Amino acid sequence: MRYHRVPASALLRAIVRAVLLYWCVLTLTFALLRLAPGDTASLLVPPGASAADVARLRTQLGLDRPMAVQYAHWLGQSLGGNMGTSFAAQRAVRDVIADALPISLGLGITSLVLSFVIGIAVGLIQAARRGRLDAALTVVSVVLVASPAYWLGLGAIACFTYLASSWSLPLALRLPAIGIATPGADLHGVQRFADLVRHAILPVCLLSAIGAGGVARYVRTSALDAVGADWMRTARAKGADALRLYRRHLLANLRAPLLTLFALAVPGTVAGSVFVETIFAWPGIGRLMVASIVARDYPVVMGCTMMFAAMVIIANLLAEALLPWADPRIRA
Amino acid sequence: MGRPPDSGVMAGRSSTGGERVALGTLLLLAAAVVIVPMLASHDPLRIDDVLARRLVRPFAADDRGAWHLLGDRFGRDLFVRMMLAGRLSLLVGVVGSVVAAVVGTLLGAAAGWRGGIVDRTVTSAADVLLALPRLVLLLVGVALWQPGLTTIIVVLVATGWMGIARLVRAEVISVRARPFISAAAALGVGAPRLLFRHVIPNALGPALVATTLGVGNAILLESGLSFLGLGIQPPAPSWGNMIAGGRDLLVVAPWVSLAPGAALVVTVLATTVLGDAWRDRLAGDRSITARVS
Repeated sequence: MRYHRVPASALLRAIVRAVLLYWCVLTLTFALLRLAPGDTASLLVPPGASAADVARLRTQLGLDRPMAVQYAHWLGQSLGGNMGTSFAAQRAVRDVIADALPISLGLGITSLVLSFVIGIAVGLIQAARRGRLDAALTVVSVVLVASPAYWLGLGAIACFTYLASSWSLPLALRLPAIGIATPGADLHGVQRFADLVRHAILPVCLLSAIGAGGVARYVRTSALDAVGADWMRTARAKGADALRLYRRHLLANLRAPLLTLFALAVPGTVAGSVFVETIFAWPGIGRLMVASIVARDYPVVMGCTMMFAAMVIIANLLAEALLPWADPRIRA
Repeated sequence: MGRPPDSGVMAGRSSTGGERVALGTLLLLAAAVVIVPMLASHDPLRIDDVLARRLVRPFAADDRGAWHLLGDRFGRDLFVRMMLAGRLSLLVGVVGSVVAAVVGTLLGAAAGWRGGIVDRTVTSAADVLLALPRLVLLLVGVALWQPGLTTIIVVLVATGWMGIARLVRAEVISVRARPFISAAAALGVGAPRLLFRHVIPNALGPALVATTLGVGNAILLESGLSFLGLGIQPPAPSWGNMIAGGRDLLVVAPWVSLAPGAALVVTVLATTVLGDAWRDRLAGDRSITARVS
């Protein structure tokens, strides 16, 4: 099979659009901070700061200067990666986010990949074998999609942490519900990784299961539509066996819509990870954002918002760039 | 065709079993959330003798003989509180998504009809808002404004109109090119009447489906915010803050988290099934229309 290269002009256009979009998001966060009730400077100082502190910050941030100057300053700072100082942590927002980002990316990317692998497999099985199995899997996937992640998370903790230990199940089934590492344990190398994996099982399975539910529903519908199509009949008439039929003919046609679905799934994964990180006390960006809202730590809240926007925009850009590979009929 | 074809969500084609069950569930739930709190013998918000009445087992009576379907940690009736919470959730879900749908329909219609700068503005505003996960926008909204019912509904509307605006815009652009529109224009029908009488009704079908699916989404978002402590504030009950309230009772009294979560899932499931059924029916109607014309 021959894949076509992505035309450079289309890629360039997509990149320009992504940059413009990010600029709009920065503008939006700037506008939201200014639109919020109350004085921006008093939003940006730690609670309990004196009036003199507020006045000093106002001069320091240039909030007494014209709006256009403020905006240019905000843009320059944000683009340079300088997002202010966290009140709660007394550190640069950039550093606070840099600590949390790998955790969220690890959780998000692992779950996304797993949810597509599982979702595609389940959806194809459903389409190939109609009947009772299909009906049961449909119910499961619909319920998964309709259930709030945090509620499923609490259920998983109740089963695999509390009940599993009170029924003294084997250690492999008794999973930790909090954090990414056993507190106090001084582990290295393989053991440390194994500990991380143990802590990751519940959050990753939960996020992947929810994602896989949506993917499976989509793949099932598309596969059922395709089964009746002329090109599938032709392929079958030519004597292609089931595996080749599904892998070579059906999946090849689903590649482009699945890529689009992938870009669409990123915001959902972000939202899911906010809840999953909160429930399982994973120190990622989602939990950081919620904690910062509660603590009224606005620079961090805005930093997290920009980070999430960047993830969605990059995912969209990636999907767009890969589209000509996924479907050679789409060119330029 | 001289007359615009029926947009037809409700027209023709008999309803499926799932659709009837979903509709019945939603109607039953709507009736229950209105009626049950009115019939309650004790104030579902008042806390008095906590130690004597905390965590009454399901289907048991407390020391004053008040029967509880489910008891909570403060001796209040969880079921009545759940129904009270349902009032809020259904209100937020329906109002949030219907207002968002109206805003989205108007903006989408304006964009598709006028084109040019209006179209570019609306489309790019939608693109920017879609670049942020909706939950994140909601979180920013409640961070900058006071958490509460009004904030949640306003932010739900502000972050929920884009999908419908895109749908309606696409429909309006395709309908605008059809012969009955030029025929109506040739008959001297003015632009506003043309838009509201002939174009928008044709775009309403997909918008109605999206709104129905949006109700479940809005309910999930509201309960999520309340779960995080950033939405409806206790003592006012919401399914989200009730689930959060049962977090530490998972083993002792699992029903405290389980029951409101189940109510939430059933509600969202019902709106999803209903929306899907209407979409299928709409798709069926469309293909019939396409075959006839």
